[in-house]
Amino acid sequence: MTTVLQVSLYGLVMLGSGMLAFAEGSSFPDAFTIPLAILALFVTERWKLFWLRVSWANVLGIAAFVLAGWELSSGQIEARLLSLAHLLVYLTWIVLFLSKTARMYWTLCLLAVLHVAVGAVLTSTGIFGALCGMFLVLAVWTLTLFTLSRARERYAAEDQMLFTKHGEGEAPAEPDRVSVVTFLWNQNSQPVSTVQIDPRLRWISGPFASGVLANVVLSALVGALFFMFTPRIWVGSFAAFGEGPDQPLRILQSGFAEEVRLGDIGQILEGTQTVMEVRMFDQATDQPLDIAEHASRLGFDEPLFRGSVMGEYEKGKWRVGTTGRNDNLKTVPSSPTTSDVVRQEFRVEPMDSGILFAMPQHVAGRLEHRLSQIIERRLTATLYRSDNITGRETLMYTIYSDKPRPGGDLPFPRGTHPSLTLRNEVEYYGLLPERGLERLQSLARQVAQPPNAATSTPTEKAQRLVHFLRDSGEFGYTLDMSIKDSKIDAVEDFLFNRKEGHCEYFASALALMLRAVEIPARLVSGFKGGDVKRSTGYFVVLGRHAHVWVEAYLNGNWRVLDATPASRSDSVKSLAPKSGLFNTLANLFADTWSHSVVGLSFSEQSSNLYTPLKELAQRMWDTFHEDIDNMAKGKLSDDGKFLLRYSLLGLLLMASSVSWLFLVRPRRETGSRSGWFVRCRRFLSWLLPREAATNNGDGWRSRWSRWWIALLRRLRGESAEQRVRVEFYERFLRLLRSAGLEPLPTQTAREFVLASQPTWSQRLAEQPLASVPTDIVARFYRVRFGGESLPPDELRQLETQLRKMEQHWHRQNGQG
Amino acid sequence: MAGLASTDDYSRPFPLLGATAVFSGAGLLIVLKRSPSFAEDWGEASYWVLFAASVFLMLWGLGQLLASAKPDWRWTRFANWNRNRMAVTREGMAYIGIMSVMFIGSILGRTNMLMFVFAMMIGPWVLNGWIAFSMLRRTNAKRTLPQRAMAGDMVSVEIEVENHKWLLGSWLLAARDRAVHARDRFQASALFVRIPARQSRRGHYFVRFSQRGEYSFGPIELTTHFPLGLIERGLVCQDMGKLIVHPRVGRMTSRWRSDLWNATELAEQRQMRAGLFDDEFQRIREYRSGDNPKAIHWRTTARRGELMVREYQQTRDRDLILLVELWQPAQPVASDLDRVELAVSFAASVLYENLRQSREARLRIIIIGADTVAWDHQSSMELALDQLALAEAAPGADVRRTLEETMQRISSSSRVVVVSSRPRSDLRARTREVMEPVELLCLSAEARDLSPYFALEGLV
Repeated sequence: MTTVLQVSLYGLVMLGSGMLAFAEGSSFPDAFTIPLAILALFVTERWKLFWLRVSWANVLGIAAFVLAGWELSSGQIEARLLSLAHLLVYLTWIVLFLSKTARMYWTLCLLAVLHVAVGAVLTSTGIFGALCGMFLVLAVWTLTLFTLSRARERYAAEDQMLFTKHGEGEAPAEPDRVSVVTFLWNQNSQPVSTVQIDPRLRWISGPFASGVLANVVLSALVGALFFMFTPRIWVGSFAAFGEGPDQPLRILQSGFAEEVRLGDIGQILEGTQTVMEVRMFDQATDQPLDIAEHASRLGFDEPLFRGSVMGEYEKGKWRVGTTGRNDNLKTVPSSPTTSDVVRQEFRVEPMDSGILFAMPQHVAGRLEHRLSQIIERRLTATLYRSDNITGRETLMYTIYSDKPRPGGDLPFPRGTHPSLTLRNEVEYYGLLPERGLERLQSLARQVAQPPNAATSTPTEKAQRLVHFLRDSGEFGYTLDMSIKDSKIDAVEDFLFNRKEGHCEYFASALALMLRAVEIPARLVSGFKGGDVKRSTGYFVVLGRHAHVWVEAYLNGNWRVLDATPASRSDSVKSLAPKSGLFNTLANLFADTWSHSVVGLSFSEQSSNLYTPLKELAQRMWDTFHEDIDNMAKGKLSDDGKFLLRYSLLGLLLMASSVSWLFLVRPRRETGSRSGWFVRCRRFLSWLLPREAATNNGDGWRSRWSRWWIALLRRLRGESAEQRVRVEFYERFLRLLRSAGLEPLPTQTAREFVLASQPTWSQRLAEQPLASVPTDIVARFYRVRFGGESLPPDELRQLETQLRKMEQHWHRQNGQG
Repeated sequence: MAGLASTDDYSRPFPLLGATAVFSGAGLLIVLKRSPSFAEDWGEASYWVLFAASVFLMLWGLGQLLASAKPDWRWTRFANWNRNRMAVTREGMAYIGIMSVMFIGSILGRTNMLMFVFAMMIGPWVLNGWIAFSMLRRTNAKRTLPQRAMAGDMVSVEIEVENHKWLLGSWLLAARDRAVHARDRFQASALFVRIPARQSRRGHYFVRFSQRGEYSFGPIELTTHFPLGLIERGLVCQDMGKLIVHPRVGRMTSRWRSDLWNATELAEQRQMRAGLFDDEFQRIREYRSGDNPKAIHWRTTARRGELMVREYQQTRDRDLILLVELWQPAQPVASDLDRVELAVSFAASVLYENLRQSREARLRIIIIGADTVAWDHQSSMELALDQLALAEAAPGADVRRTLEETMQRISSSSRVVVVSSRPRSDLRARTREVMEPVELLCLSAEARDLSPYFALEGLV
């Protein structure tokens, strides 16, 4: 068992370290624990070649604290939490190489649990949840073994102490005079505890493992109940780990970024992780809306969820820009002034941005279960959260937007800054880098104003540019990031060398070309498209739906222009998860994890748990009241009659049980039982025979009884060795047990019968049964060890003898 | 975790479960009373269910607290409130600490992941308590005690634990027994690794008693912290028992016989001829002036060339009356108690010595303590040891009156020994005026008085 315990414990430590490494996303130092644990298992535990002295362990412990403190203060890691995680890792390394006592084993268990706890702060992925399940199984198994192992150690220690105290080598000293004041009677008595171990006991057996498994399953169920019913009433807004928008503790690979560096998004566009889920309702009627249809009525080919707006471009990087970031903020009203709006309900997975996505054109909005509000940057009409906690949990919010107006203008964002004149705004979004884009500007002018065309309006120019990039066939859509000429601007490399790219390149090229022809333009990042999940009805937006497009200032309004070819949609669709059982199950698990674990909120608890339970209780209470009232009035519905009938039946059963417990059961001991009780009991005994009723016969009844008893013993966890029993001998043993005679583990059957002869010989002396016990033992030896089968005549004789013995025995007990 | 052989903690474990129930019930009741709109918000049924639950929790918890504070009350015994125990082990406390950090961290940090880890931890915690409780259901423990034991000797106490459950075996059941004496107490346990369903197992523990007197055993507490070692549940089995521990017996030295005879003269007579009864030949020595010429052993004289005579020694024992005065002041100190115990041990040792060396001699022991009891050789020896075991010292114990009465009645061939727990000077003063028709040996139970006659094994 020691080996199993050691392997389990070190496995637990390795699993915890692996989980922490997974959560942190770094293999050092967390994952380095795994090889160290294997090394310690052999070097320190198994071969006992090396272990740390306590003084060295203390020195290393101080060094670990110093190192963790240095990590904390040096700023080389992302958050303070990571220094704590690394401190745990360092301490684990030290404990691994210490000489192990029970306390050290327990410390290792705790360190493993703390690894998982810190990992849980760092990540919220479903894989980590699955690993938590594995950890639970291994932890329960290890702790159970640990408890057994400690009992075994005590057994060894007590045994050794007894041997020392009563050993032959320790002869008691015999003083020759009374000379010392301290007498023994001034001391307390000295007890020595012992451990009783059945020598046949197998410590780790099938039933033991089954019990541990059952414990794990039940523990998981109880834990799940606690998780579901503990109300998510968060206290304060604790940001102990220092994460903020600029220092993301954990970055969900959502594909969204407030600022764009060309090429960054490419790999993310292959992501299949859920970013947000959306539902839309008509606020007036509370009827759900088809989001794709709503988008089409807004003039979009697919739903567009607007995020960040960027205005400054330099060397392949788009920024929000000074004007875009520092404009005045406006608090968005929490509720609309009219019900003639569309209600957009968002559920966004954790991400490192405070931006809130929405389809235009918002009029109000609120965050669910939060004190903070939604604010809007006037110039860009982007929405943000007023608090600075990001990246930690699923965010739920509601946005109210205008309904599409039939025949009206496209509802482009308004976005006019009160402190800036329109001219200033236009000038700001028309700026181009002074150098590096000369070829682009030239190309833009050629495309927007071809030599054969007459004077063009800005709208026509914009349409030509969009057509040139999207529909001319000269440019292709790809997620390949390779750059052909790194010395020139990334957009010029796209336009003149590669001629293929993804949405960032197309949008950047369009925005810069629009600016080159003096049309103000800005880049917008967000999400485009999504899929309706039939099981929940949510419109699900994944990482691969991340998109960048352009807003151009045309005819006094900001209008959406998207130059990305249609092959983008094909590419997005091609990245959809493949069907199949495994993928289906994986997606189901990911969704469940995301909704029911990571994103569980009080409102969901309220709507899915508390309220249904409350309503159920209330319905039952009302029904009960109503039925009582009806009974009082003498009228009862069919349902009421049904309920009343079964209530009365339940009461009758309860009364029967109580009467059995208090009336019939005590009478059993006096032997005077009522007739129906005896008949029921006989029937049950016939159906489910007791061990006493089994025999070695060949009939179906005997076989059934043997099978039933074998099943019972298997359920009781008796080992195979113990199950090899001879029924008539067991019956005989039970008889002797009723007289307080129990065989010692070291006694053979014959020794036991001879040792207990004084008792049974007295009881059987009056009857011609005195030789029966020795006969039974002789037959037992023949069957159990000789492998014989007793002939039917002998079995019948044995049965008769045993029955007579039992009757005689019980008669004497009754007289006694 | 409670140690198997711990002797330093005899206090009853704090009824954590009861206190938790009372506080939870009271808290719930306060919340209900302070939330007048609760019934409207959550329904009247919820209100009454929670109200009943809070009242039940409070009553049940109070019952647990009452049973723990007054375990011997008839009503607490009747209600079986006192049978179940729950304690958190040291490992469990660490586990609770980590769980609390997880929970508070999740609440403050607004993270469901920490709450998930907390739930993952609390599941095994709850199961541990439930399984431990299930292990104890339908189990019982019985003790088999020897009737008597000797102080200083190792005694085995047998405990049988029965598991009456139908299917579920009980793992790691510790039967913790305790014993109380006026000046001593201990607890010991026998751990049963596994008791299969519908079977019983016998285990035992050893104890070396330090005090003479009556030890009251019980109740036996069955405890288990299986499977995870986080929560320990206990079940009290009211199996009580008593055991009388005889005083520690020492060894009388060789000087006991010789000095006692020297002191009493009558107890030692050497003769030159065989006596009437059971005199026996002791040695041959050289002739001295005045010796009976008939005692000359001629064969030896011829061989040695000088006169040698046969000497006989009367070995017939005289009667011995041992007065044991167990006196102690009203406010005894350690040395007073030491003298009392030493006097009792000396008396027990004399009893054994008399039995071993001189079965035909008549011994009478009179114990003067809180009560005055007497024993003579016609009664059983166990009775004498029982009386010595149960004898108690008292400030009013006075040997003088009993001594005077004894002196008046005894024959001249009897010997009288007084062993007293009084200080030596005090004893001399009190026995100086007593008439002495026979030689009287008065010993104070102090080292310098007793050490010539008496050695006690195990003294350090």
